[in-house]
Amino acid sequence: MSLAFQFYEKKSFMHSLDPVTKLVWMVCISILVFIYETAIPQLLLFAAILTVALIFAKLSLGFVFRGIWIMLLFSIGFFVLQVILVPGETLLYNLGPIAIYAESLDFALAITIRILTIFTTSLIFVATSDPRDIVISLTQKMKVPYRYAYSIFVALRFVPTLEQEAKVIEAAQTIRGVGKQKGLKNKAENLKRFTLPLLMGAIRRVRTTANTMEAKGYGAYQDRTYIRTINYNVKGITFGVAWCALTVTLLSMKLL
Amino acid sequence: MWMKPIIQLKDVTYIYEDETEPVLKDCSLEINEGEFVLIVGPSGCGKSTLCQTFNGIIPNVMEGRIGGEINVDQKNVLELDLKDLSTSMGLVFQDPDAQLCNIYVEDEVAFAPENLKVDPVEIRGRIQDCLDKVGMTGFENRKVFELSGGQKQKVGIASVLAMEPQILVLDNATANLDPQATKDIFDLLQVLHKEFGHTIIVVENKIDDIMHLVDRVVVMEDGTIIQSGTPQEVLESSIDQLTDMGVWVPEISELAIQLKDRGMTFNRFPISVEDAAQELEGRWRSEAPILPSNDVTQLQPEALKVKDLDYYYPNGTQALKDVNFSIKKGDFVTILGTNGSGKTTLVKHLMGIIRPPKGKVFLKGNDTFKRDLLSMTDDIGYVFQNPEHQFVADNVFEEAIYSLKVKHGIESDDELPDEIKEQGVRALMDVNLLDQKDKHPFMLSGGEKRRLSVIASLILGQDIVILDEPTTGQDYASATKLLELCKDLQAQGKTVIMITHDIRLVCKWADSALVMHQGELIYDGDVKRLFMNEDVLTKASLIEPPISLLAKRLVPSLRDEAVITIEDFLQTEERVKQVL
Repeated sequence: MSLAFQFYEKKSFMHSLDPVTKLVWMVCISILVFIYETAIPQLLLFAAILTVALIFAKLSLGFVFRGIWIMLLFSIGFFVLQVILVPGETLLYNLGPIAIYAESLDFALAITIRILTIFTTSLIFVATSDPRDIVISLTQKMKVPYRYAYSIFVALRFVPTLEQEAKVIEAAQTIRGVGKQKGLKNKAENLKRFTLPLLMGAIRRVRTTANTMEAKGYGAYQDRTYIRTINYNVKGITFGVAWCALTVTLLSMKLL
Repeated sequence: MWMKPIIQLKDVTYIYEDETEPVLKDCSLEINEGEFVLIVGPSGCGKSTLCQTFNGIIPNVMEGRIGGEINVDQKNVLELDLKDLSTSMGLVFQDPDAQLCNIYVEDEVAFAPENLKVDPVEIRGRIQDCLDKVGMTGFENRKVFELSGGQKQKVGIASVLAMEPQILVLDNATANLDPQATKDIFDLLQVLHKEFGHTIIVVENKIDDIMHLVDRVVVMEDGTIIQSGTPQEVLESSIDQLTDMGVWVPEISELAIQLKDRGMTFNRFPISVEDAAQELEGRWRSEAPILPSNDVTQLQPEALKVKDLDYYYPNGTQALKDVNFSIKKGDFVTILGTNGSGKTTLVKHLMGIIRPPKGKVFLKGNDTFKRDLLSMTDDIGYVFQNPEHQFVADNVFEEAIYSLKVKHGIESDDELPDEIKEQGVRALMDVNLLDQKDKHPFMLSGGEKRRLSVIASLILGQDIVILDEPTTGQDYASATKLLELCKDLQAQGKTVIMITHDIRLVCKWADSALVMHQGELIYDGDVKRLFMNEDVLTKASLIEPPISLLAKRLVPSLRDEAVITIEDFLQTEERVKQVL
């Protein structure tokens, strides 16, 4: 999952949009998924998001699946529980002692798809937005203080390094015989054995990183200059306005 | 020449937070503008701490108590904020991954000036400039983590140059690099010093290729500066003291001091091959020396054999190409090659961390393809690059016997059999760690950690040991101790296989060498003959040991075997006497 849920360099319509527009789009989707509680509109919405992923972001079906599969497993469980537990009136069929109602099926389907839609939307956002552009948008457009925006960015930057180190530690400890002893107590011990060197390494690295960043004037002033600027383009504005218009229309239709 | 001091330290004492012993004790030092200074000293002597006082990381970021006076570029460091100092000084550290915090090269170089609110147009110019200075033009849009270690450090240097500092400080910046990359960095420093007039301060362990470039050497021990002078002065007067302290000294100077002890006089004390060749040319007998050949290992049985081994990374690049070799029992083999040449991938196959296919790797004549990693540990001990990765117990003693406990299925609260206790005590005694048996392994010094990881990996009595770059970043004292331990193991009849970049250690301690280059094995044989094989040396970017270069200069008739140790060079008393 960690591999799929990150920036995926490509040339596509979604990639060419600025992160702020995509954030606006995400807000629209989040509003839309919460105004419907039946399966059909949720399914339509999900189909729309999937179209964005496949056509406008040029992500493959496999990529999307890899990104959301854990969520998918979770949703299926959730779905089954909802179907069984939510009360309804119109009986569809009886599975032994369990009665399945049309209303509960509809509701379960709706909220399950809702989860998937939100998740897929965030996947599209992450996969099509260069992290450095996200940071720049946050600071330049949304006026988040750069010290905060950058810390998240730097933390993300170290994920691959940590992943690599974890693999080495695993092999190193297998060679020592860790994992051969069974039992819950040993399992707990092993977790400690594994985390300690990883943590020690990370702390040391973070210290060096902090030192270099400070020495390079990080946080010296309230703001900073940027060699890159993020500009809204016509495509982005059109895309954002279209989604906002759709959301407002559907929302007012629902409320009125 | 009028010298203007750019860094002035007066009686600086510093104590880290939560500690009682000062790391720096009354340090006084002056460094002049445009000077190239090398700081040496055993590990833990305070040299890195000293560097961090220059730009105010201490005490601004690292808390603690500090006394004395520090002036850099006429600014009082103790009274100023970091941001006011950062334009005076650029600091580059050892771990390239920790100090590069951006994804793209261009962003990394722009990072500091952006923070200092430099105009973007001006920053664009600086990026071009700085990348050009370090020879990385064209890498602007490359990702930092895709670069090699040497390239990363060059980006690191460019990123501090972008602040346009007068002073550049490199704190062990080449420790993780292979010899060629190290040499490239040193050459770059020389250019920055000579052509651009930067003041350069370098903390280094590996000094053979830098000593002759610097104006001054500062020696530190135990938090104080004990000596400072030109490399010639320092080496001629106190080379023995340096060695005793555990500091690496240039091989050529080591030779020179031995010649001096035997009565030879020099016009100028040699510190580089060039110097020594000038001094000795014409005085040294120019016949090829007769070297004792040792082919004792020939009759030994085979310990490991690799046959037609290929390996592709999951992304499709070929990491090993048709590798064939065999290692005899009791041999001390070293595996050489640049970073990324396939050394680690190769030994991972030997150990079974990467499981080899059928018919490729043979341990004592038996194919290992069916054996899992855990069962391989009965035959081979494997010491990882970072000893901490392998530590699994809460104290040194438990660490040493851990594998035994696992093997005999002893739970942590069970009574320990005397036999195992004894074995642990003996092993710790071998490496002088018995008096620290109750400490946590993480609390040991770098050298002690490594020695502990070696004995802990071999407690099951395996007769083959693989070590992956065990001497990286170590000072002379702890590297030597580790190699002595390996030699002991060899004397017990064990086979030692070591990946390393330290050519001098290889020459002094190892018997044979395997050289890897882009996944191919390009040399398999005696260490001495390796250095007569110019082709292999160039291909694998191996840096010849200074003593061998000197011998080739002085004795052009050298044919089969290179002269790779000082002992070989001096050979016999008679030979030396002839020269005097």
